[in-house]
Amino acid sequence: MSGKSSMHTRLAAITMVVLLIAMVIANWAQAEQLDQTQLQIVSVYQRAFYESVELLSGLQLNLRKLLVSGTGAQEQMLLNAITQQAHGIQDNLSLLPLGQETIAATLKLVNQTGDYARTLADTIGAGGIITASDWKQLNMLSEGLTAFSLKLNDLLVRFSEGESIFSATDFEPDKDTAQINDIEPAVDYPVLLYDGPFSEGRDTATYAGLIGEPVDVTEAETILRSFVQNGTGKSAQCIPVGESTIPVECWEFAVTSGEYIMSAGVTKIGGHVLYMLPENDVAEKRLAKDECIEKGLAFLLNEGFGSMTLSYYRAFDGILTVNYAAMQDDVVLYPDLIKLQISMKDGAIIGMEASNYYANHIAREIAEPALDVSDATNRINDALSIKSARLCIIPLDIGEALCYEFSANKGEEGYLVYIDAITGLEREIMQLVDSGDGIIAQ
Amino acid sequence: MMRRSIAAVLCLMFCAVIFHTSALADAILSLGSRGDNVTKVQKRLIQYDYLDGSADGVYGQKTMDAVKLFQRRNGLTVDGRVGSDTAAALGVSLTSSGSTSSASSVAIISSDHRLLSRLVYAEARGEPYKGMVAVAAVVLNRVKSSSFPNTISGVIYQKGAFSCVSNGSINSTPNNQSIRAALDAMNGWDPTGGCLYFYNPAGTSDRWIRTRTIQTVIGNHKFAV
Repeated sequence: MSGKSSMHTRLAAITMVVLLIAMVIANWAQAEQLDQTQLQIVSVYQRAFYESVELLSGLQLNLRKLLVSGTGAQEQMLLNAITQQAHGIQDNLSLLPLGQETIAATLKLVNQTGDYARTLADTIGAGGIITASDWKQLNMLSEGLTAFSLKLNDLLVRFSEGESIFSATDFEPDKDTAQINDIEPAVDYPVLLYDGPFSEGRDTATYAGLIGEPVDVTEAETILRSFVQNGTGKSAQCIPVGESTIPVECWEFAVTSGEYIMSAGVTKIGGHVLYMLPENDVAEKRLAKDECIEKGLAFLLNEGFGSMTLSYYRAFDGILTVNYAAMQDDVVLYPDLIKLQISMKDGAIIGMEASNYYANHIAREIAEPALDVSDATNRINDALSIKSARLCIIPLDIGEALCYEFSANKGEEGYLVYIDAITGLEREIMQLVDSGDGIIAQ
Repeated sequence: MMRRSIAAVLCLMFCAVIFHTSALADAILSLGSRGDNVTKVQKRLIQYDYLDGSADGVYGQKTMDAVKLFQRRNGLTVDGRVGSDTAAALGVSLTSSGSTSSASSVAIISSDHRLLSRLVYAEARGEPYKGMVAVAAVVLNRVKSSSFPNTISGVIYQKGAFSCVSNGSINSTPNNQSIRAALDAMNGWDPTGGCLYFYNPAGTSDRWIRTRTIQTVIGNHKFAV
């Protein structure tokens, strides 16, 4: 009896020991794996750190060279290098485990340096020069980056010694680099090209196209109701849901018309429909794309936008998003875009985005082109066979340019090429891509 | 600089669609089918975010639903069966032996569009549609802002920027509305008018974010600059 029980005890003890050993081994293996993972992460951070420092010293060197350079070609080369280096620094800094509050000001300094260099390189490319105020700005940036570079080197040493530096406020810039914002000349941010040519226009603080008397919420409701009814062909209910202040002051509405539920904003100045968004998905496609595009054109004409021209379109399920550009005489105004969303089920207009239009749309004083079409044609690459040409206005980083828009082909590939009608510069090249759901310029 | 990164986004977004047409016309997959052909189709559906899980080679209800969504999104006849057209659109060649697979690519949604859709789904599921577009617009506004990284992935994976990244919910498959909302935001709709932050007052303990100036409220989210 006692022998049996002691055997049990021994068995239990052995089992316990085996289990214990297994646990220790498992634990050790896990810790080992964790160490490995941590090492890998640390090496990723370290690499990002080293690369930031390396790129930053290269950028500083190029900035110093730029300040003593004498030729436009050299300046342009250095500026392009600076843009790339700034981009690399930004990429690497973004990899580090730093919260937005910590890194924002530093990222801003780096991004602005890159954007600024790019804008200056473009200016030189377009025949301009670096002005005295630009030089002053470049000097400021150079000093700001020197201070940042010293700090980054110091942080790198502390990080290599195993110190945790990511939670600290170490990355906040010094007071004297923060003032760079104050003296910065007007650097407009680059044109963003998400979809059609020039579809993002410029980030404009002022809404040049927003005109008219102030409207109250009842007047806005009446305007919106008639707008929606014209678009859907059915009666509409518009319920005020509040106000918004950005990008301009608007009355906000919840809209129902037929089977469609939408939200919309009407500007307080002039009572213009700024945007409309459909809540519903549309799954059915009964109408062809061309029919929908025509319906959109007719709707815009009826709503007083004049005769607009198709820029691009793209379908998602049964909703066709179409981008229309305003026209003045026979010139296409690419900064003045309106996007409509059209239901391919019944042709109803269920979405609209007109902030670019109201930000930019004014009557332009269009200069006589200095080049005629054949002069401009001569500036097109021989590899392209030209299909058509027309005059248009395109947005630049700063201002606008009157251009000839050439629609051209290279084999199967379609392109749009923009030749400045005044200076003859090739301003832009876009490739047209048929994505199956629509034609997009990129 | 910003322009360049946007151009890169675009290149990804609008890759040309190359259809592969050498598929055998007579092989058709439908509910109940099994085999390598089914696995190939499932792998593609998973790759394009139409299907969750792993490719098990069994054509079940989930696979059929995913095929239907794919057909609907790509203008194909919605019958839930994979014939030559659907297979071609998926870039898969169906074979009687099931041993070869084509390497053609179809860009249904770009990688950036996909990532943004996932963020919208994780952060704004259950919000009004306008609120979903607004969340996507905040990400794009950050890409444009010089104080933030210059790419969609850079913004989304910035440390502490979005809770769905730290808790892993960003890896869920987005629904149709999230995908459309992300696309609308990329097409320029911005119901926030340029906001850089949003938060759910009921769900955040972050005191710093409450110091930002609120511009608009949509659904459960406050949007701020």
